[in-house]
Amino acid sequence: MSANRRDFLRSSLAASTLVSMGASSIPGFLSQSARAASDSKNNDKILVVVQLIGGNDGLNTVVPHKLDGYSKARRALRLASGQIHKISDEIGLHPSMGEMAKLVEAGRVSIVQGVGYPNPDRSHFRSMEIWETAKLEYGALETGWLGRTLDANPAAAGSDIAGLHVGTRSLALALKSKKTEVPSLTTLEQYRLQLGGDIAAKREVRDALERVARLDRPAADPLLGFVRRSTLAAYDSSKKLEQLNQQQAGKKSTYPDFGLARRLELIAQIIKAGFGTRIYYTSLDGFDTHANQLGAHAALMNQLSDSIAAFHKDLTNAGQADRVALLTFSEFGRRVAENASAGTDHGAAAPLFVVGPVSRPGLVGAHPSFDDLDDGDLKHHTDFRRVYASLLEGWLGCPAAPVVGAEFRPMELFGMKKA
Amino acid sequence: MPIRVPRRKSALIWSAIAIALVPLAAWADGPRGAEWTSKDAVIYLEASHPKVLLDRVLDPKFQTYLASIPPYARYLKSDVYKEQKAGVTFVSALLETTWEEGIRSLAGGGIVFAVEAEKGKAPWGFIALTPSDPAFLTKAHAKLLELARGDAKTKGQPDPVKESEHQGIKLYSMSKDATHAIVNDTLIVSQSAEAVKTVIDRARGGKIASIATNADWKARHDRVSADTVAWGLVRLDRLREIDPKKFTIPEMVNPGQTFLFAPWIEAARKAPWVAASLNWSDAHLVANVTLPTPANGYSQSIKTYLPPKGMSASAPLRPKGVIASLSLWRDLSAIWEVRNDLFSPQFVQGLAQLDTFAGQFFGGRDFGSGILGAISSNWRIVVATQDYSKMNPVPDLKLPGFALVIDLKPDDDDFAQRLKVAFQSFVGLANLGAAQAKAPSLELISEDVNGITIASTRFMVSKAAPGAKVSVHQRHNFTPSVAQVDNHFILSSSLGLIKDLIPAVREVAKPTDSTLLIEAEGAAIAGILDVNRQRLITQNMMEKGNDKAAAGGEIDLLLGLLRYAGHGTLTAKDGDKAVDFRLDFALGAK
Amino acid sequence: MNTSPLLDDPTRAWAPFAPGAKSPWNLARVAHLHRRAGFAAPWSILQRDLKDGPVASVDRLLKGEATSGDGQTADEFDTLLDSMNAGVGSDATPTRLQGLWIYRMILTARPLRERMTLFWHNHFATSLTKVENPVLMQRQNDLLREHALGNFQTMLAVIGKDPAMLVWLDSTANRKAKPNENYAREVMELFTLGRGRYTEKDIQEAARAFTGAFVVRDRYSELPAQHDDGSKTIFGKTGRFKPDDLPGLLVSQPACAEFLCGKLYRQFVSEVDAPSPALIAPLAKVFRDSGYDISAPLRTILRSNLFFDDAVRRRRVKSPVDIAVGTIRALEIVKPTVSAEALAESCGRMGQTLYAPPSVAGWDGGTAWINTTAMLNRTNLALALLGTDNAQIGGRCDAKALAAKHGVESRKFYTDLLVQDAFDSKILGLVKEPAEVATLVLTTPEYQLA
Repeated sequence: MSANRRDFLRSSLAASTLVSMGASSIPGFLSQSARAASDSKNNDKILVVVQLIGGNDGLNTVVPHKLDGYSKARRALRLASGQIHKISDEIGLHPSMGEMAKLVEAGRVSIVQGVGYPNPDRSHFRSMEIWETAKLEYGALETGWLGRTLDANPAAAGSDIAGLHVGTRSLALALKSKKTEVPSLTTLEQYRLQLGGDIAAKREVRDALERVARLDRPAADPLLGFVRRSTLAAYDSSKKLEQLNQQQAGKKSTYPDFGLARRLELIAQIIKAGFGTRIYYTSLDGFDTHANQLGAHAALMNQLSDSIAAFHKDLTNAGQADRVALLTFSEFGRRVAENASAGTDHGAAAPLFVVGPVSRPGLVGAHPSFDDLDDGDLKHHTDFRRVYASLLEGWLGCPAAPVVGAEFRPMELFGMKKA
Repeated sequence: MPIRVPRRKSALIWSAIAIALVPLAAWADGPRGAEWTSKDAVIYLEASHPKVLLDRVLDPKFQTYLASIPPYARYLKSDVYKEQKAGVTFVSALLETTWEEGIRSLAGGGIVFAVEAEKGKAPWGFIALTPSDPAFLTKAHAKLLELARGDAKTKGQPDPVKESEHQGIKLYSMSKDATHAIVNDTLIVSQSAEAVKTVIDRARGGKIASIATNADWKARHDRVSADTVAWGLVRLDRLREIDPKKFTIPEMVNPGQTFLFAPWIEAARKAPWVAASLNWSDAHLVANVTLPTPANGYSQSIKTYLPPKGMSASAPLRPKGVIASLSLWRDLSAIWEVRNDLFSPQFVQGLAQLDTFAGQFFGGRDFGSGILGAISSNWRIVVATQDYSKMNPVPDLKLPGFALVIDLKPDDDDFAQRLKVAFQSFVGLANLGAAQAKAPSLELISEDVNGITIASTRFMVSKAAPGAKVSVHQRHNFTPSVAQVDNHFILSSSLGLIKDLIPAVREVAKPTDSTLLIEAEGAAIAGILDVNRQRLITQNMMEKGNDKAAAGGEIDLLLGLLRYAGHGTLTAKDGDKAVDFRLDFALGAK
Repeated sequence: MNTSPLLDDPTRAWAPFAPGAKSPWNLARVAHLHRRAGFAAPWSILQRDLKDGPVASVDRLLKGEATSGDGQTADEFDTLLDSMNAGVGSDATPTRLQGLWIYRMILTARPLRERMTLFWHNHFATSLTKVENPVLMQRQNDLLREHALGNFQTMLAVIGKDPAMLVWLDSTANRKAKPNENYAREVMELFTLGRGRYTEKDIQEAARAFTGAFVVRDRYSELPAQHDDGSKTIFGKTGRFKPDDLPGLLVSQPACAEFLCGKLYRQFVSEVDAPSPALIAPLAKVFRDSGYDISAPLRTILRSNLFFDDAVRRRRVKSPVDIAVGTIRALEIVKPTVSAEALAESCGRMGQTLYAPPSVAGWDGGTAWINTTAMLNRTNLALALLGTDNAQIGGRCDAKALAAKHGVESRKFYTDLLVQDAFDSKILGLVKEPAEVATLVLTTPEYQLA
């Protein structure tokens, strides 16, 4: 908009006699309900799921470097004890995971060991389907575990969407649901009003749009009122996002230059702007390291660790870190022994990370034994559906039984459940 | 006798002046202006042979090409063009000449455009137009002034021309943006009166070191030939001095650009100047850009990009039906060794994944020395049309064939074998993926051509139900194949293309002297687009919202332009002193 | 809350509307007709219909205009689009499918038929994400269009043989030994009768009747060996029913006419107030008496008192496609029009991805269209259409020229064109610039309602 038009808007809308202008031209009850809605948003817990695609080598992530089984099985891929970040006397984190190790020390990470499911399937597609649908029966691909959660716990009508997928991959099976649309996001453009012109012009247009939406309407019409409330809530949150953006504008990003970091940064921005979305999902690819694993895996661990740490720090600075839990998972671990191409093949049980205000920081569960292997693979002792149940009931406050089945009791990961 | 003047005269007069003054004359002593340009001028542009340009433009062959472009054809039929032509004819009549002759007489030494700037001060520039017939210039100028003043008088407006004087020369200003004067039989135009006065001072013998004393300028100037239509020089070092923020190329550009263009970006970053010229002979339009290499030479890591003495890219391949062909000299294994110096750590980590991936296929060979090291530095890519009528089934969307030709280092038979096996593994993996996606698989076949074994594949065709109208997927354009011909290894998306490449690759061609050559055939590109015309029209309708007629028109324009552009070649030559880029169009060549 | 006495008086409700002093034939009613029965109309059509009166206007909508938005005759346009549909190949992207349909909706001379095609797409909801075959989805769309305003029994019969539908309902193999109840259940619950208007036995017997129906290599075929040709009892009728017999049995159930007319009511009259059975009964009768021709009850609705009643206006939330296509048609952005593919993606962001309804129940519609992301995207669409920044959607509408072309001052023009009597144009204050006025009107909550 040109400078002339800017002035026009400012003076014209302010001067209009037919309309009660001023800071609060919105009728009391409407503004109250809008505020009430936004207040409740701020207390809801949020779950961020990071899917590691390809099968992460758990043995070289959470490294039992002092155990015999490890040094016997890994030669070319053995990680030297000196460089490993200590968690317990025998176990530590991959050398590239310095940032994650700091988080563990600060008590913000639970490392659940030996996670898997009975009769492990070593096919990428099948195993990922099992993890995403939380069902072992073949062909039960109608809905994913998060999709069922969203169906059973829908968002309030007219408010923010309940779940969000971040990234360019097609929508994950985990989010597939019967009723709930989960949009995919790659940039924040959808949450911003695409206004042209400089900052001042944008503000004018935004204000004009808002004022028109807020104006008093003669007759009370619930449908119209509903649309108005939603529109105002949308403008509100979008404005908050813009403000956050402007604060960020001159500063360099605190996130490292990795794809995963960028996606987590986007999620953090949406959380900080006060949107009520509770479930976020993104992924990181490249873990299928059949050959020359050392360098590639180190790079991935570095990306994972630095990105999650930056995300956590960002949320801590914004006071939101205690609302957000982050889960990493992969479709399987890898074989205990390395193969002839300095890589590893598909395995079974593996550890996963839960980052947030955990009640049991550090290692949860014992490391699977090297003496009791399932055809060369580590055996699981914790069913992944128990982890899901813990996140559903203990964190999100949603009943777990309809989603994963009643037989999987939640583990204690987050302290006492809120009444 | 009152002069009956067509309406909208003023606009026409100005466009007449513009049209009349733009193309100027033959190369006699060269255009004036250089001697009045300071040595440190930031930009210098010269249209050396306006007469040549005019000849080329008026050439009937060129006019036919132009007329084949629909918008230009419409312009020729339009009312605006008729009015403009009437205006120019009218003015020429006043000057007692025809419009063509008028242009040729006004046609003179050429045009010079120069821009000078100092740090902190606003830049200024001027244009100098040298006529071949100074008397004609004076006459035309006086006449046009008279017309402008007369026109204003009849409208009751004040005198549009502001006159002033400096050192005995009259300055005229007809708008607040431009002032002009005739100095030493040359028309000088500039933004402000001060600028014109400066030029007058210099012309009157003010002592300045002119750009003509600059050695680099002289070198460029000496290269000008009869076909040169325009050329110019930009002082990059001065630009960087004046506004470092705007004109300095940042250190780390994106990895893709670094990978492809590192030495040239480096040269641009450090070069004191850059020069360009445009030559237009009978059937060739050639643009040249010259960038001097850094004074202290390239850094060690960037030196790996440059071919050593005696080496250069091989001649591009030209099999039957070629659409585009690229030839590049790159020692990728040497570049791989120094990747840490060239790329950001994050990108290098990304490359590590490439290492793993390739390792799977090459039995754990080290990527740098084992894989890249086994390939010589000559890389060639070819894109060619395919014979669609021979395909079975014929795909709906017709794509060209692509091929990559690499030369293997001698005495490494193991590598050649690994390449073949890698190809087969790849096909196997692709088939696994295809099974997951319920897409047809590739079936491996083998063909022998003159003693060369071609390992080829083709997509299996699912039996269609009888009577059904089947849409044929674009994958049926592809018959991925590999073959080894002497020490050349060819990977192609098309069996037909490999067969055509076998003789092409064996041809002993003249060595080139460039690092990079890219050739493209406008008519061939137009051909393959034409074959897919319906799809292009649908796409245009969907993407741009045009209706069918408008979409068809846009496609036709594109095809016409491609056919006109003819055969295009881009070369980059890394010399000792400078990098030369050359873009050459053989217009309308069949 | 707006209620109307008509809701309790079915006879008067469905009687043909005749303009009178208290309910004149005004711009608000004309625009309402076009919003509901088409996709909104440009100024000249609104003015023309205002002059011609309700009967002629409704007739014209049922028949279609003479020319399409790009200047061709209605038939020429249809032929062109049909041939483009036929050109859809197995490598067509979802966006291409959506784009073709949206392009058609924008320029068509027969908007009521496109609206009904969209209605049937929502009714017989099938998703590309499961069918995974764009050619089949396009054929289904062609089929829906062909029968959109025709006989429902015929429609049911052809849908029962549509490969895309059978793939979607996991009914590609109906074997004698183990009849597949999926198709039978969905057909009864969602397509014809509604929940609870059938028994489990009816489903089982219908599944038996449907045995022998297979989809082999993307084509429908009946394998007699797999057909259970025994006697079946469905809805109290007994016979050796075959797949072809099912449509007749289903439509003759009283519940069918009521179910479908209920859906028509929801689509054309009100989304928020459920109609009483007494109100639906006359429509159902018209439907049955016509031999199950869907245009019969449709005609009754569009001509009725209830349809033109004040209480019924703005009782629907515009779906993303409604608002996208309607805005473009109203603003006459037709030569050239916007990028249909970009518009399809915009509808996806607003919550409606054509050819990919979330489930077999289609899109819930109504208030389900409203959430913060959707509202932001609706505003963004308005900004893009009237601005010049977006190359694919913007730069094609000169708001000033449009108002000037029709000789109306811009504030009045855009309020009258887009929202009519929904609010006082003075609400926009002294905003004068036409583009601003248009943008502001498009983002008002009133404009989101139909």
